[in-house]
Order: sequence, then C-alpha cells, then structure tokens
Amino acid sequence: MTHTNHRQGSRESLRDDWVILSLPYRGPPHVMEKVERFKEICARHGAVNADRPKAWHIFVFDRRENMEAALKELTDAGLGHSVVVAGLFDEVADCCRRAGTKAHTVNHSLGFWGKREKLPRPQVLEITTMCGHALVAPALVTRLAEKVRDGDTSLEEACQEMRRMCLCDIFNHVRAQRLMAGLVESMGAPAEESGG
Amino acid sequence: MIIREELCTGCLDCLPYCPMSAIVHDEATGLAKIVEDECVECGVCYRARVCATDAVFPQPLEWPRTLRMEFSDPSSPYLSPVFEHRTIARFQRDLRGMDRRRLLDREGEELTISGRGTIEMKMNDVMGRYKRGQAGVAAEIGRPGVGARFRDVEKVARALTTAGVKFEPDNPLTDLMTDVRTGALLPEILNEKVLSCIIEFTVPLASLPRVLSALRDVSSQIDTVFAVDLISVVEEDGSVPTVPVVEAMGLTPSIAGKTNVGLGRPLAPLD
Ligand code: SF4
Ligand code: SF4
Repeated sequence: MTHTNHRQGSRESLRDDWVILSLPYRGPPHVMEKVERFKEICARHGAVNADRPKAWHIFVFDRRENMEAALKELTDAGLGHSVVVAGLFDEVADCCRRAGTKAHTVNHSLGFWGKREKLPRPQVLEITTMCGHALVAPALVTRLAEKVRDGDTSLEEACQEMRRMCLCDIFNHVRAQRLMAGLVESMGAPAEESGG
Repeated sequence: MIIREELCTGCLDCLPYCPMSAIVHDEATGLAKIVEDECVECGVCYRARVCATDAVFPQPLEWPRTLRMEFSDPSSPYLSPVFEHRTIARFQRDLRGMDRRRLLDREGEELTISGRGTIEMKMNDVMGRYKRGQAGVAAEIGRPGVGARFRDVEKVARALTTAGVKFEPDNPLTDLMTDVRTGALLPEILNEKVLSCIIEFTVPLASLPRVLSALRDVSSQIDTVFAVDLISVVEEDGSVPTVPVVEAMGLTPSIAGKTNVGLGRPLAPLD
C-alpha cells in the first residue's frame, strides 16, 4: 500500500505533515510487546492522531521536531521492526542521521498521469490526498468549506468530519485546518440571499 | 450500495460524502439515488452515518461486483473465489461469513486494513525485496479519487507486458489475469469499477526508461488517472540511483514520500 506517497503541496506546506508507520501489526506476544512499545513512543511524542484506537500503527505528526524525537527514541529502543517515515525526503534523511540511523529505501511519487482534467483543483487535492485511499470526497471538502464560510461549522469540526472518513486515520486533520482556511478564503463571500 | 426509496426523505445530506459522486438527486422523485454502475462499493456513505432514516443500505454483492468492494473498501475481506488461495483470505475467514452490514459496522481495533497491493518497500530493510541496481514501480490506477474500470487497468497491464514487465505474483491483480504474459484480465470483470487498483513490478535500473515510456504512452489511452511510484534502495552516500534516470526523462520525483529508515533487524542482503 502506498497511501502516504502522494500527499500534495509545496515544501512549505508539507512542513507540518509527517507520518511514522510500522510493520508488523499483528503477531505473537513477544512481537506485540514491541509493537506496543512503538505505539507508546509515538503517542508520547505528540502524534496528532493518538487519541483513537486503530488496527494500523500509523502516527501522524504536525511538527517535525516531534516526529524526530519519536524517531530518535525508536532508534535507541532497538526494537528491530521496520519503520517507515513519510514526509520531505531531505529532512527525513537529516532526522535519520541525527537519530543514529540511515535512510534505507525510498518511495518517490512521479505524480498523476492520464486524464488529469478529472482531478479536483489543487487546493482540494491537497486535502483529499491526505487519505491515500481517497475516502474523503472532493465534494465533501467543498461542502464543508462552504459551511465554514457560512459560519455553520468551525474549521476544526469540518476537519474532524473529514478525518472520520479516513479508515486508517492517516488524514492529518491539523494540517487540514490550515489548508481548509486557505480554501475558504479563496471562495470569497457567500452568494447574496435573494429576495428580502 | 443502494438507497431505500421508501425511507429516503430527500434531504440530500449524503450526496457530498460519495468519493465517486455516484449519489445523485433524482429530479423525478425528489429523492437521492445511487447510480449503480458508478458506485464502487467503498462503503463511505454508509459509514458516514449521516442518513437520519437509515436509508443507505449495503446490499449483498455477487461476483464480479464483489471486486468493487474488495478493491475500494480498505477494510473489506477478500470474498471473491479467485482470492481463496491467499493467506490473507484464509486469515479473514471469520469476516467472510459476515453479513455486509456487520462488516461495515466494525470499528477501531477490529478493522483490518489489508490493502490491495503488497507491502512494497515497508519492510525492505529486513526482506531485501528490492536490491541495488533495481527499481520498484507501481501504477496505482484510479488514484487519487478518480476511480477506474478494469478495462483501463487491462490496457495499462498490456502496455507494460510489451515493455517486458513481469507482474508481481503477490499482488491480487495477478489473480484476475487470464494470461500473465499479456496482462489480459477475466472478460467478465472489465466493466467493474473500483476506487483504485495497483500494478506493481520490479525492473533492472537499465529498463526503467523503457517501462516508464510505455506507461507514459498508455496514459493518453485511458479514461482515468494513475499515480506512479518509484522505489529505490538508497546508496551508502545517501544518493538515490533512480532519480537521475527519471530526471533525464523529464520527470520530477516528488520532494516528499516514504522512507524506510532502516531500523529492521536483521538487515537483508541487497546485492
Ligand atoms: S441522507 Fe438519507 S434521507 Fe437524506 S437524501 Fe440521503 S438517503 Fe435520503
Ligand atoms: S458505496 Fe461509495 S461509491 Fe457507492 S454510493 Fe456509497 S460512497 Fe458512493
């Protein structure tokens, strides 16, 4: 599964989006003990999605410092499990070096090919691609942005609603708030009520 | 998925939740309805629980429509007979007997997200699946969020075989092929639509330009998009050997993506 590989945005925009995930996610007790340790370390270092139980061991961070602190502790713990970090390659490589490990294998995105006109506009795509399985519908992003603009919901509620659709809970709802704020701003004022 | 007309009040709250825009407003009745042929059975509308009258209903599925759910709902077990030999299908036996509503109602720790590709580079440090001098490539057809018919998947698969690609046997798509040498798929599945379907393979670095050219050529012949992934082992000095190869083709590798950070033990040989 390559569902963290196509998160969109400029370098600046991707600075608040980091994911740490680990395999295996099931196994005999001695393996699961280490998995629990992995989860405890990630949660303690401020993963923004640590508030929900999940089958997959995926932790989302909105600050590189927190991701790096978790990575350092995971390296020191020597659990022996494979760990994948998603985020800006050069910064992850630097974090690895400081943590005492090295980038081993990388997976780059070469973008989206084919009928690109079928894709939603970039501002919406930046939000929807944070659920790699595409369970957050572009129409939902737009609908929620309208509701935020019209004062019918808050930014945070809107982003939690989108997060609810993402089964792996890999959707970065904190980053989404910033992206959503930009989207709402770009939409301008609501259409004038007719009549009156 | 279907909407039970007798329960629908026409509030249209469910409409924006569908990633395929398959839920539409039926002007004639004033109610919502699901366009069956566009629905990929991802379950999002049902799980969203926005319907106050419980009108959104997961009807039982039959082959080959089962494939829609299997490829589009990340928590779905493998139900179709073609996958019966898979370890993961055996592991999911208790789920396979479950009523579809109960399947969709599972939450949190109970969910197993099995994915429809392989674990690709996630454990490459301990498995050594991708060696030095090789490139792993994946074409995730239908991603992000456009959806794909198997007839388009077949076009891409066929194009890749002409470029000499051998398909990854662990990938469930291989089970749907009638001939792995040509990439031909079972004829009865060609119109089935899924959120996405991953074609994965490994090629020697020297073959990478040829394979990516074939992908580039076929990209103009399909009615959807695909996301392209490129996997590479990192050299001792931190350089990534695939990068100059694709840059020479005018392609730009992403600035962000996945890094296996080498914490698995014991490390597998890479040569
Ligand atoms: S939310 Fe329920 S009642 Fe409202 S339109 Fe959709 S199916 Fe009908
Ligand atoms: S199951 Fe998925 S594709 Fe089908 S109507 Fe519901 S949300 Fe749309």
